[in-house]
Amino acid sequence: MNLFKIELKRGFIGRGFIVAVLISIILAVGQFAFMSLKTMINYGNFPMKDVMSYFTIYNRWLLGTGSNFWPFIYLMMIPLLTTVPYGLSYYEDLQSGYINNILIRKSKRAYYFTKLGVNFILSGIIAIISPVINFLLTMTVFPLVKPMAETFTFEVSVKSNEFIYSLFYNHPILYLLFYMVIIFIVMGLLSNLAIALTGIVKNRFVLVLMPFLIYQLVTIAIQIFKPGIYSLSVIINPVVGLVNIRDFMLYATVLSVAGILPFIKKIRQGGEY
Amino acid sequence: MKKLGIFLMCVLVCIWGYFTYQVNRKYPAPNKVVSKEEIKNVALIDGLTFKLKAIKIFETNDELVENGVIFKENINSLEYKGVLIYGTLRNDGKKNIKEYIDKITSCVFTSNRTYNGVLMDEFIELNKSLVNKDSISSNESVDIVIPMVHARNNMTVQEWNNFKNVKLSLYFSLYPTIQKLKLN
Repeated sequence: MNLFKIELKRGFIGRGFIVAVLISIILAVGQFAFMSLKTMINYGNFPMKDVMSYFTIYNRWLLGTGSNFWPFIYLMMIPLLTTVPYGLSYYEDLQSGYINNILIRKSKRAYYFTKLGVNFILSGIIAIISPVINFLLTMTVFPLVKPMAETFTFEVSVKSNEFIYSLFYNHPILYLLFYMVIIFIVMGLLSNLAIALTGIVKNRFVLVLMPFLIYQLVTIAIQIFKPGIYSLSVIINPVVGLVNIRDFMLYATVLSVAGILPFIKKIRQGGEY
Repeated sequence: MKKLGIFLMCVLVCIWGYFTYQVNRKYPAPNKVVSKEEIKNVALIDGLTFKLKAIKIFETNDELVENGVIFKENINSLEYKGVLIYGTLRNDGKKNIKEYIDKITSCVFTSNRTYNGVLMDEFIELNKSLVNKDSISSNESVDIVIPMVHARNNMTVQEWNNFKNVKLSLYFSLYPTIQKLKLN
């Protein structure tokens, strides 16, 4: 537990984490300034002030609109952003020899799983910082009015998953929490691949790009081969509401196994780190 | 330094709370259905430059739910000059609309969503001979507004309740068009 705390602190005060947080804040504030505030200025003098169903927080926040620059950038950048804080820590430990100091006192098993756990948490936090901050900011200019399906201003439609559709129009806050959890888990596990691939990929820049490349490759492969599952970028996108348990479990399992497998191998083999 | 950070955080939370409270007080959740007359009045106040001669509110009725598109009116009784359809179309709704179009001399279409724009484009293609505009112009008169909703085979209570508020959403859906007209 002590090692976990040390590593977590190391991650939180690291330069990578601060940079990722700053970029996330820029994304959140950028969308708020150029979209939410702009809408509010244009439509602020709404004739019927006692009702405001057309524009609500649920179709004005960062992940409430589909065809827009900001959500596109967020969904594109997020695998890269989540790898920045801690994804290279194992690589740096190996390069600097810091790992030797730790392994004198701790087992390999504890060290590897701490790395994965800390990276999972930090990546998840980075992934949800933008949406959360943006949602809080949007709350200051748009009311928390329950979405109304027939206004056709919400991207969640009958094309979406039935559960998501029902959740969005009946319990929108739960819908948001649900997606934050999905984004946290998927991005945390995806980012763990950077740690897992450290022994295989030798270049730090390629390593930091690996989750991003895998994310994009999966999206492209699914578009080409159409295997009947949704891509990661669709699953974490609340706008389309197409997440389903089967696909989510499939990705979660594959990413978890891919993240853990190289370390299990190393633990069993012994010798090399 | 730590105390200053906590103090700044408290200030930020207070500012956020103030604005959030204000905006939610200003725009509380809608709890009433706006009457047809009220919509007309609002439209007039807003300086609507096209005439809403007869806003026909279509409500759902089990007998008249056809292929996922809800129509209240018997299409044969329609004798309106122009139609402003808002909302989006499902593939299986095209047939119904086609029947509508055959009864009407000129039509105006609008869709406030790009998400289902493809469906709307397909539909316009289908009725190219009759449709000469894809957006409303300031000197066009619109006699009827047909709201449509996507419907599942069985509407939930929530959907039904929402649909009953369609009068309200009707105005909201027209709002960008009105603003556009005002700008022109």
